[in-house]
Amino acid sequence: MMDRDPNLSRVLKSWRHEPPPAPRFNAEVWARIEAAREAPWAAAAFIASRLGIPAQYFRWALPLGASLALAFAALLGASAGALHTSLTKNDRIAAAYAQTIDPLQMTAGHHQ
Amino acid sequence: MKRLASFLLLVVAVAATAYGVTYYLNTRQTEDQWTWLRREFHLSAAQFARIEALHAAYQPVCASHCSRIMAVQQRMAALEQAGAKGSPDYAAALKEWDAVKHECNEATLQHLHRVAAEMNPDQGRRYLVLMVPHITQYDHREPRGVR
Repeated sequence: MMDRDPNLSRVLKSWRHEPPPAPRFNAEVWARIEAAREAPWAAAAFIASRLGIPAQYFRWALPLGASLALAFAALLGASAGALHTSLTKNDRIAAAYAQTIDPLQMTAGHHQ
Repeated sequence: MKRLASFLLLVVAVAATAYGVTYYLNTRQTEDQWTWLRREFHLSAAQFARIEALHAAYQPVCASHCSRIMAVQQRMAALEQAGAKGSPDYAAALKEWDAVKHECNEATLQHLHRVAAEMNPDQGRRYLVLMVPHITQYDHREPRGVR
């Protein structure tokens, strides 16, 4: 337990802080609040704010993580589609080729 | 929780849409069968020419079988419409249908083997492995009227 130091107490009482003048401080704080409110986490808005583009144009943008997840989902789906068609391509063409040489398959369409 | 569920649903929908669009676009780009045959089984010009000749020679046989198939089917359909499904004529037509099917299958398989014989041995084997099931396992329609 510290003893009370009268000298320290006197110094602390006499200490004054003089911050530098910031005439636009209020406006800048409110601009940042407004930007964060309209596009709080969108990476595009963050970058746009550095370029001077209002964040309100990005208010519909999804968060970066969500955007990446959707992009990955699209890539995964397209890759699966491409792989599936690649794996089944020979079988599909073989089926079409068989229909040109098998009389039973040729006449199947006449069974309607 | 509701937002997360909705977002997960969106992710699945995006993936499924991308899959569907890619699958659809890729399946539309179908290669010509002869180009595919030549490329897939690495046929030389001479091999390809001989296989084309075999195919041309097979066409009259195929056409003949088609005619017989359709004749049997029409006969059976007529008997069916006349309510003679249990008649001896219908039984005879059914027997002929089985015989025609067997003969067609045998002729088609022989054609496949002749084509495979013109290829390099390993390619010929691959060709038969790929093509024979499309002949033997094809679920062809029964003759019209037969259920």
